[in-house]
Amino acid sequence: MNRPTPSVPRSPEHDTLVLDALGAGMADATRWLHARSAAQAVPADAVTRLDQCLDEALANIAAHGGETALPVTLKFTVNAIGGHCEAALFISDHGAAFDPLAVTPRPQAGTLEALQPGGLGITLMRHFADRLHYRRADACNHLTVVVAWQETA
Amino acid sequence: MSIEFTDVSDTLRRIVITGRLDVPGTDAISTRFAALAASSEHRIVVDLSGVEFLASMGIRALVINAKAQQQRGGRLVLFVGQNDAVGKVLDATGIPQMIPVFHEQADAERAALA
Repeated sequence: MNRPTPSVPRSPEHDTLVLDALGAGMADATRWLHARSAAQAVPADAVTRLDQCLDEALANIAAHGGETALPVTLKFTVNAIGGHCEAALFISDHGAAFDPLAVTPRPQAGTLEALQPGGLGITLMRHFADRLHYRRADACNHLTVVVAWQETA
Repeated sequence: MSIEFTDVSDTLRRIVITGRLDVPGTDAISTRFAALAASSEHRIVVDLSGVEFLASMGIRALVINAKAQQQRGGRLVLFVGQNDAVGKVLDATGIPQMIPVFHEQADAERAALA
């Protein structure tokens, strides 16, 4: 298959971030994502969607894996085929197996009385990502978030 | 991340949140938010028009405080102004069907006091 060179030069050495803590590390991850996205000319709407998914994924890791999930490794790539562009965010952690895609989203409560706080992170990831993929390998959780857009001339 | 409030009247309080309402941001304001929203004398308008980013943890804080107000016989509503990013996140979760969301401040204040 003919795969054109991505439209913007890449800097692979900066496309990986290892988090050794989840508290302060979450702010570091956000800054890293925005910096890498800016360097690769990812449009603002796509960055917002990636940001949403990254925050929810790290919140899940903190909730379900805690300190045992560390370190968390983030990788970021951007690819373009013709005018179709995709940013992929790879999130790996060492916590207990947790497949966020296997979680059934909670049905909408309908009333404030019936509404239970929390449990909306998976709903938001599914809404804002174009594709999500999970696998368990090497005693790690590997979640991939893909956000796509069409490049304008 | 900041949280400020104005008592618009004896019965209405406006709470203004700005910045990123993500996990660290929500942690930073949650105690003060709960204290400000716990007023039994005031109905509450939460102004999210200056929020740059809203995560599920931020929504969780909004839900907890809206439910607490309701259990006291009060009401908490949300004002988003022209903040489309926050509006999209709220829409994606169905929150506007349970906590009223307004684009005009005057509408939000009327609904809170109704």
